Amino acid sequence: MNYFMQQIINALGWGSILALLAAGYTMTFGIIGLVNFAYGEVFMAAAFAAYFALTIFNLPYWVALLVGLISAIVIGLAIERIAFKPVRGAGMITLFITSLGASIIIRNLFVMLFDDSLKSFKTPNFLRGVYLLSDLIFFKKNILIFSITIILCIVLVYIVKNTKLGIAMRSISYDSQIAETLGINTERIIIITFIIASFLGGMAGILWGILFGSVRASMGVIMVVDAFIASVVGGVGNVFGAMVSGYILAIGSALFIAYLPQELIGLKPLFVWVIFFIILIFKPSGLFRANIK
Amino acid sequence: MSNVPILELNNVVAGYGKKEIINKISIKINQGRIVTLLGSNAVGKTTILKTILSQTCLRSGEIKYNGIDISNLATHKIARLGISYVPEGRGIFANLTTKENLLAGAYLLKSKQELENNLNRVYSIFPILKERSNQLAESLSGGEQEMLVIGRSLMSKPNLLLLDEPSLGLAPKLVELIGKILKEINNEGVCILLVEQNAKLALELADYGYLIRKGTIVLEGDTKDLIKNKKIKEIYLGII
Amino acid sequence: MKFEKNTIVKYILGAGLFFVTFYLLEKLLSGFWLTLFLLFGINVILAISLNVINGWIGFFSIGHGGIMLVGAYAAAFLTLPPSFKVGILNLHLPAFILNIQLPLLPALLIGGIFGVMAGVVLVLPALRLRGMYFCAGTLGFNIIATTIAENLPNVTNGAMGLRQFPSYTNIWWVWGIAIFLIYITLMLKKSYIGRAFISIGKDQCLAEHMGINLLKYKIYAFGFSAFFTAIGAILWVHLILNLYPRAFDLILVFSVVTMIVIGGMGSVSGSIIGAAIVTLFTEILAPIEEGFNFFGFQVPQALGLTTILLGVLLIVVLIKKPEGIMGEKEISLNFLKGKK
Repeated sequence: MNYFMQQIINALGWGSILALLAAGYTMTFGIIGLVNFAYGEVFMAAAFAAYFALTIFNLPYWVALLVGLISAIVIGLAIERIAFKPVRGAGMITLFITSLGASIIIRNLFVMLFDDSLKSFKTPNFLRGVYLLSDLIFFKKNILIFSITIILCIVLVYIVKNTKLGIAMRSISYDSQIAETLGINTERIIIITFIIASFLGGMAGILWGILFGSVRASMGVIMVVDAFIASVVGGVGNVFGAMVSGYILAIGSALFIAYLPQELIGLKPLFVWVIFFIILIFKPSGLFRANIK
Repeated sequence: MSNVPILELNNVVAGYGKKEIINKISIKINQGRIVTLLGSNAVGKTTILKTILSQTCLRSGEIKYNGIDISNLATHKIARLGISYVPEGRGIFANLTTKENLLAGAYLLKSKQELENNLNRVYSIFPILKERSNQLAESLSGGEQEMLVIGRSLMSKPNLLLLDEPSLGLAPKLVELIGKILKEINNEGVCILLVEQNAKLALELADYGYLIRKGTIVLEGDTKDLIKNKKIKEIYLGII
Repeated sequence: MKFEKNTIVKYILGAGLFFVTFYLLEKLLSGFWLTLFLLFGINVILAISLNVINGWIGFFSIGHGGIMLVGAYAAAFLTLPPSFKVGILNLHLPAFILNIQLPLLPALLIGGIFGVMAGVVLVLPALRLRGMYFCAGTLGFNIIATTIAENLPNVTNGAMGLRQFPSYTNIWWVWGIAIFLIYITLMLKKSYIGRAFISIGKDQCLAEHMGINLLKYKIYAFGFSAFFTAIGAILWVHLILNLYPRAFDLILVFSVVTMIVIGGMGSVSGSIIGAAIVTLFTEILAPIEEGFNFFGFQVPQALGLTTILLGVLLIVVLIKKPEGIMGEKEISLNFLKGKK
């Protein structure tokens, strides 16, 4: 039993990061039908920016955090203006292909400039160590990451459910033409959505760096696929659903490999795809209410 | 009341992409009036409404609202001027609750008090909406959805209401109710442009009417004259 | 009678032209340029096959890496020398496979058939998923195929892959098959089957109402595409002389997708043009990535530069000319038909 619980607790760190990524992912997926493969590079670029601020410029941790978040927003908006806005009406697949292109450009740019090696940095002292609670180990890092994520989740769900902005976002997700006739400036709301999504992605990237004590240029590629699956599982455009699904996928993957024989551990990526196909066959609209037509 | 018509279309030619749907349409709505656009399916009536809202390609001609040229204005800015739209086929947000749909309609309101007042007003006009306020809009019946859409359009206290076939697929009793409500709203000063296939409802309600055919106006006049007109009787055989 | 004689003469002339041209090319080209020309041919095969699914039937697949992987491994098991399979790697395969070494033709055919089987597995989501979700499903298929291949060390030698391939690929195989494929695809496009494919791509419901059996034609299309995709992969593996699962990941699929998008998604000539552009880009620009000496000034390494430029090219095409260079049309060869 303890082994089981420990797997779950260990997975909460990575699960939180996936939850944040999934939430940001599903927001742009819902509002303009964008399957954003380049989102992983926003995630990665923020982590790199924070890493450079920390190691090369020796700035304090909170400044590095700010640098990372601002970089995420700048890059996220830049990608939107350059690669997405021009093809906005052209259908989901075209948007996906341009996002593939953007992802490849940015990732290879980083590989070209900084190579694909692991870049580590020192974990701050207050984040080192563990808490023990009756045989269960809680890493301080994981607790921090989990707490930040839960707070952001509460704020995000509040915005989506209880504010004008949230109603505008959900209306546009369903039918942007009718939303316009109600006086909603869809262009402005889409930009705000990208800002929020980039913020979440950047936050996730920085937390990833903290969790693993390192960053690398290819860190976005695997996560972005998991984030996509989490959005579909959670119901497209549903922020709460995406976050819950992120945790489900992370904990599920962890339990999956915990009970597999050693030599089959390489099959970990298959878990999320099995869930993907199961959901699309039995509950294609997702576990929670989707926000699209 | 001002003498400037609240809405004026002058020789408007418009369509989607390269296709032209409406040709040289000129319409005038005077302050406080109800005007109707009649015609059978696919003659361009919806296109006229969408052109007013800047959701089509305007080839030539101009559109004026209270004397101001709105031909090149973005849709959300047109809504800001006090024009509300009730789309064809309900046009609710199925992913939002009844109340959230109404709140979406109140997007442009600044004060919470105003929102409360307008919400209560809509609830008093359509009590069923208050009952279903926390239900998902897609679970409402066809008639309830139409009431929701009309209610949503009233939330912003519009000066001009554009309605696209509100009676489509509704039971006669409900059609009667909607007619009554539109009359009431008009008495309070809201101008209405009503697109309808149901000629009886339209001609009873409106002051002035235009008959559209293949994208152009073939007939216009005061509704009391139109009712007696042979052409209308020809087209709407048996309905009047 | 006269017409028949003209056609036969045409074919004989065509075949003669083909043999002479490629004989000369084989003699003249060597080393880098030969490899470049062979890669171009292989890319043409891959691009045209993918275009049948993505361009004609309209199901946007990014899972063809999985089909290539299955076909390539199936052929590899047959063409690798027994000394390698048993002695060095000790693969857990049936004895009769471990002990034989086949020439290219049977390997192509058998590998192609395995590719078709993989294609059938790939088409399963097509029955239930549409549009973007189908696309995502094919991505999953690709990832699942490469992950499984990496995790069966006793069968595939895992991530380290296979080496010691016989160098079977030459200009005749590659371009013989490529020209054959170009020819039958162009014929297909004008035939009932091809037009059925294209009508499914334009409007599935309408096609169904016109009496086209959707399932049958989708399976035909996937089978055809998978067969030649596998063949392309087998030819490639026997050119570069190694095979490992990661080679078939998204980067490879992305480059083939780029070829058909740039060239024009419904067009055979477009696929050829797209394949040419992408092959030139990757192979000719590749040396620049290593860093070079430019009039005494050392330009530093720039790994990944070609991929970046390809990505930029793709986005520019999608924004400026989304239907690609050729759109859905073909280069008109009317002058060859002797039309006046």
